[in-house]
Amino acid sequence: MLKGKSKITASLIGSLLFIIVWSACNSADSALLSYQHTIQVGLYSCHTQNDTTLTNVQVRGIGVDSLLYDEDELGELFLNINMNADVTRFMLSTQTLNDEMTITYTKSLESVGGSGIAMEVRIDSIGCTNTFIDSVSIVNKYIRYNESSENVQIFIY
Amino acid sequence: MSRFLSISILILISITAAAQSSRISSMTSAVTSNSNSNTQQTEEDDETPQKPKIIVVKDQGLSLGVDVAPLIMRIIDNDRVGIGFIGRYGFANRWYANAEIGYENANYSNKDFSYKSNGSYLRIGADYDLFESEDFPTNDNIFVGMRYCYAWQSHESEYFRIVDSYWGDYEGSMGNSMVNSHSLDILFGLRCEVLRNIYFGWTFRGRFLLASAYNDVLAPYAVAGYGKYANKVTLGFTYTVEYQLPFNRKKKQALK
Repeated sequence: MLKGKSKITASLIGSLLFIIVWSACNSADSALLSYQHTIQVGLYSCHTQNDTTLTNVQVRGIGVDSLLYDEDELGELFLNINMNADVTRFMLSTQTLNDEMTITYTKSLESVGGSGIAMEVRIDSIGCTNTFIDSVSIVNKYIRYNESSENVQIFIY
Repeated sequence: MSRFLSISILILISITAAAQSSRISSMTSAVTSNSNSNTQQTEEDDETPQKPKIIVVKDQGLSLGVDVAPLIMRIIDNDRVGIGFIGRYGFANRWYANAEIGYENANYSNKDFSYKSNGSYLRIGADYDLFESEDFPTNDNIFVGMRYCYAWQSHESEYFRIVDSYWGDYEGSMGNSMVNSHSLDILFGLRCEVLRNIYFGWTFRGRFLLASAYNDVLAPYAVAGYGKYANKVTLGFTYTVEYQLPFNRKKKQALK
């Protein structure tokens, strides 16, 4: 059985120290507002099915003046979709060739650990013109907070 | 101002603890001294009949108190504010029934997100006293115990923003909705009678979130009486100041 003053004294002093440690460990996190709502796109050769690259690439959202990408060479793309719409269109250019890609999606809000709001996106369909793009395939239709995986594969002629 | 108040409370607690320790120390010395003289007397009076030993059973009445730990915690965590009240009743030797009720409000915001919650909680449970006081009469306790906690709160997000520098930000808000939560506390604690009928005590608690239900998309940032919702287990702390009601206070004596 426990008895004696020393246990009580030690416990009282220990409790004060514990408060400080506990408080430090349980203080509020800062906001987790690194929201992900980008579609991760991989580029593949339609002939070999292996990953490939495009040169002199420009990507622009239709309706926006600025470019999303303007690179000498690209092997994958991260395409921001418009959170204020259900459809987003992009113009992809390589060399002098242009293709338009249309992405249709459904959005839903989700809470991020009680300290922020993120958008969960489900890709419903993707269509594109076929100048230098052979086909497009959806491999993972969900875009979720804090998940990173390839969503779409573009096969290039 | 609140930080100054909290630091003052911490200092007061330290002083009280030291005073209590000193009081117990002197009591123990007295008991030891008595015990030594009793031993000598016993040797001398071997043939005299033994007096029955008195065991003092601790006070078993009702006590009411306030949990000031949330005030202390504000030193570090400014997002939450609250206070708790406790009722304790000794219903058997070493066993105490407990009820705790309190409220906790959470306010959290930054440039992209705001969160507001008004919550209350009710805990019920029991403590078992490990502290044996055969050497000197004391009402101090060393507890282990358990609490079931039910918390209810309304919460809302007045604004949130999903940042997108290319297409433009998405902004919105979420109105009031209710959250109901159930959790379990396992605790260890101490309680000292620092003045007649006045007790100071603390408990450390491991808190386990059993279930939490919310209707809307918005998940709670903090559950009242529990802590951050994102953590399925949290550590808790209470510091109580209690007054033992003098009514129906029984100091039982038993013969060994």
